Amino acid sequence: MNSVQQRLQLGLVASVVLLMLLLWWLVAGAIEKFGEEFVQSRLEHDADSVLSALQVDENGVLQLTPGRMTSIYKQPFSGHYFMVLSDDKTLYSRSLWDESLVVSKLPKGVIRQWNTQGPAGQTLLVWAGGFQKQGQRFTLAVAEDLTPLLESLVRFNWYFAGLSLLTLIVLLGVQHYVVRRAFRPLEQILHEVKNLQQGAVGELSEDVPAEVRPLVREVNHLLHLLGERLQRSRNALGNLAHALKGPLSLLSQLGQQERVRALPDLSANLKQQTDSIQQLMDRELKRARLMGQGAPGVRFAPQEEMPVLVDVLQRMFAAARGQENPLNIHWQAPDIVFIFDRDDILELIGNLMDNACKWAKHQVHCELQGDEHHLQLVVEDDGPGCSDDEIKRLTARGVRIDEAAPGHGLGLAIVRDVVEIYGGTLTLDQSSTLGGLRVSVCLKNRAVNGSE
Amino acid sequence: MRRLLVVVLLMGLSGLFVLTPGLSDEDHQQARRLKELGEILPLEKIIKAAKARQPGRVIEVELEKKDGRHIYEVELLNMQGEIWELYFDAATGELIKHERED
Repeated sequence: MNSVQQRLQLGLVASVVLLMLLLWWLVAGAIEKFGEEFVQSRLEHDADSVLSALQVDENGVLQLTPGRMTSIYKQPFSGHYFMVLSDDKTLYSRSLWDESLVVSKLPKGVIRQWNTQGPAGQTLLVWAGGFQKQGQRFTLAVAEDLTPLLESLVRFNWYFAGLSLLTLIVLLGVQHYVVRRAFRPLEQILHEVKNLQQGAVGELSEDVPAEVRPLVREVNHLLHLLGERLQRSRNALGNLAHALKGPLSLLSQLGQQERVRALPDLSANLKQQTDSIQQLMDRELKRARLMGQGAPGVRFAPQEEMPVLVDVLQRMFAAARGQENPLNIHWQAPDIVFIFDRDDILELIGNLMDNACKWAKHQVHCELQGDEHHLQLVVEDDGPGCSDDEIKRLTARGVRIDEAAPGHGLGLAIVRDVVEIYGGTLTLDQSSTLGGLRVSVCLKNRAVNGSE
Repeated sequence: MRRLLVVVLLMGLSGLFVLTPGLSDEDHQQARRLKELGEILPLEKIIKAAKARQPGRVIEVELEKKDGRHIYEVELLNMQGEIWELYFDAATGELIKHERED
């Protein structure tokens, strides 16, 4: 049972039931005691009247002075009875009629009290004592029906049970309401976390109840830490690549030396390894350059990013192509925000367009489609394109189509990496409109890939 | 001796006189005796029969003797505030008469 609401409800039910039981035990016990004490004191008074009405006649026989008793002792089965037991005679109140009470003789001065069954299903409280009057010893028992008292006690129990149930229901309702209200900020936090995932906000609002604030603070702290760590590791890779540039060019120069050239095996090997290192470094540098700016966000807004990217590409290729051969870069994208890692997508588009620009005669076209969780990207150019055979080889892992044009193969390798991370698809074919190579990429974001 | 008897009788009579309500005070003693002899049914049974016939509260019971028969007269007050009189044969518990007291 991992619900705070249920735990609170259980706690409340248990405590209310316990409290009500205690209260019921106290109140019902008190009512019964007061009632019995009241009946008992009345019985004692009635016993006094019977005692005063008792007379011993000249034959030494106990008699009741007529007219001294209240009429309640005359009405049959009225619920008020008395009995006088002496050695030679037993006197009954008229209310007992033809019934009797089970009373044993008591010695003088002894008083007893007990419950017993009376006529007509009555429950009687009997008060009895041993007395002596005018030389005659006798036992007097006075009894009263407790049924009205017991009935009202039963009625009270029902009222009390009803009231307890009502109280419980009302309290549960109030608690439900309070808990709902108390947890509303959590729903807000959930909403914010979703926004966080979409990159719309950088951190969670700390305007929350004191109980959850530490949690929110920790999450914010963690976000900050993660962002910093990611940035640092990217920077570190970039820095390393930069730092290796010097020693690497030195190595290349070494390879050019006469002494090394004299050993063709060694020279070829050296060149192959330095080239490989060079390519890896280029890849890291490019990655660092493309990703360098900006905090880690999982939000890619093409309308914001594409103009900058296109501008960078135009500038990169302007010098190489010269004024007479300008490059036309067209792009088309919906005005939405894709829930993808900005850096991944920039790297993907950047590499594909870099390749396209490299091979294009005049035209490069880039088109983005989809919704926030799905991204379809098509980059095509009017360059020479690839033969079916080449395409087949390109799609195979780790194959570079043009070793002589540095960066091309690596660019595709990075693209493949990104596509693999997202479990997407990469298709290469001939552009039907521009005639060159067309690269199509389909990606689903991680939320869709994952549990959702 | 004869005088004494008269005095005792007179005393008894005067006692009887004082006990005029006492005469009806005696009826329960008689009922107890008759019940013990098995000549009449216990009142509890009669009242049960009366209440089955006419729900209400018993406010008075009398045991009478008419034509050699013991008759229980039970007065019941019902919820409508009416008082009913029911007559039972005390020996058999048979209902003899059932009437409203107006």
